[in-house]
Amino acid sequence: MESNVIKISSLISSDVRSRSNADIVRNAMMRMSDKAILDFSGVSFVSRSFSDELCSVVEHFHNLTIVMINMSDVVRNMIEIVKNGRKNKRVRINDESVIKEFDNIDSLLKFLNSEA
Amino acid sequence: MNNIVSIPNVCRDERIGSAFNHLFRLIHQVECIDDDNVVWDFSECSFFHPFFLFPLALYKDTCEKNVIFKNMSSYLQEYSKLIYFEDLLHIRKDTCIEDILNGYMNKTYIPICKFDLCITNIDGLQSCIQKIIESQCNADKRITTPLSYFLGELICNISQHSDSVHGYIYSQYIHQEKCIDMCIADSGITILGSYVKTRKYLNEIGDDDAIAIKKANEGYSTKDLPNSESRGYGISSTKKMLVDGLGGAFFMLSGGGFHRHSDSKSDYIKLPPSINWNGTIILMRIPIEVPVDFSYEKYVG
Repeated sequence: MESNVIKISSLISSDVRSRSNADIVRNAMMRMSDKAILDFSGVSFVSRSFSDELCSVVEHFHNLTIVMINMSDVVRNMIEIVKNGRKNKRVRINDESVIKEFDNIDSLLKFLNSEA
Repeated sequence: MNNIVSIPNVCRDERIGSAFNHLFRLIHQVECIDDDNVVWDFSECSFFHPFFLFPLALYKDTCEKNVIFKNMSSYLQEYSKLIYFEDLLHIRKDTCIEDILNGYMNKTYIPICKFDLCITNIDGLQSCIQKIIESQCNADKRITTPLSYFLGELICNISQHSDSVHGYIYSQYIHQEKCIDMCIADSGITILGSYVKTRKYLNEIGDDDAIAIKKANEGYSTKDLPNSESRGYGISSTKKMLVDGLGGAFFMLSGGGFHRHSDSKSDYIKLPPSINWNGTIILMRIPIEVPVDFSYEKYVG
């Protein structure tokens, strides 16, 4: 196996959830000098949080050529969505719901019982 | 001196979080007792809805009073032992997760778990719990990715934002309703606390838990950077995927406020000063039948 290959499923897991897992990838990439291949074979899921942090890691190592290979559709789609989202201005949909306030427990319970 | 609180028989949760109607009253009663020892009288109780059971167990685990159980029926005692209601199932650094949890593969619930957030295999814990839940309900395979998403994002939020030592999780498969009732919580600094700690958006939030919850649900992250707003998707996207995508329901309580979202109805409530929840708790009603036109990618962007 090439020494510039980082096999995600072996290094982390086949099911990658925590954002902090990207630090493991970061540490592995620090020993690379020219090219890094992130091999996602065997990875069935990556969380949005991990994908976002991975994008930050990739951006940090701008001096490396970074290639991602063997991504399942679920993995590829998640990373692409996150990567594209980072390029565009975020548009938030503000919730128009009004916050209801209650001064005492009786008025709160009366409201909640009417809603149940 | 009356330090006895009668526990109500809360066997239903008509609109997600409605079990809290009873819990708020109970918390108020307990907090009004001027005694370090409080007796919970279960003589009225025959069964508890998961969305009442979980927060009740957490409240007992985290409240500063010594809670003594009384008049619990033998059935309820047996049940409460199985789900670790009185003493939560503590998953520590050195716990072999599969050994402890694989025994629940043929049940309809996972026990109330309290897990140390410093464990290195927190992803493994999630994978194990999810595998068990999917086996219990024999769900549509297309629920796997949304379930991974919900667990991944919400537990990551606890690690990233709550400053909590422990996270908590519990689930019950409700066969008649073809849904999973799942509860995830922390005993940390609350959503308001995380905005206060990072001094983000305080001009809009002030000291209002309900506004903080609203901000979090709209996707405003405490970790947004001036030139990058790539954070803050976890709660908002989870809720959209669950409610809009799968037809489920979502409830979040943090500090002195709560939010619930189901069907087309959304509420944000600021609680009276006498009621405050230590930490954040999320309830989700997750249908196991995935709509034909459901597309997971639609909700993560």
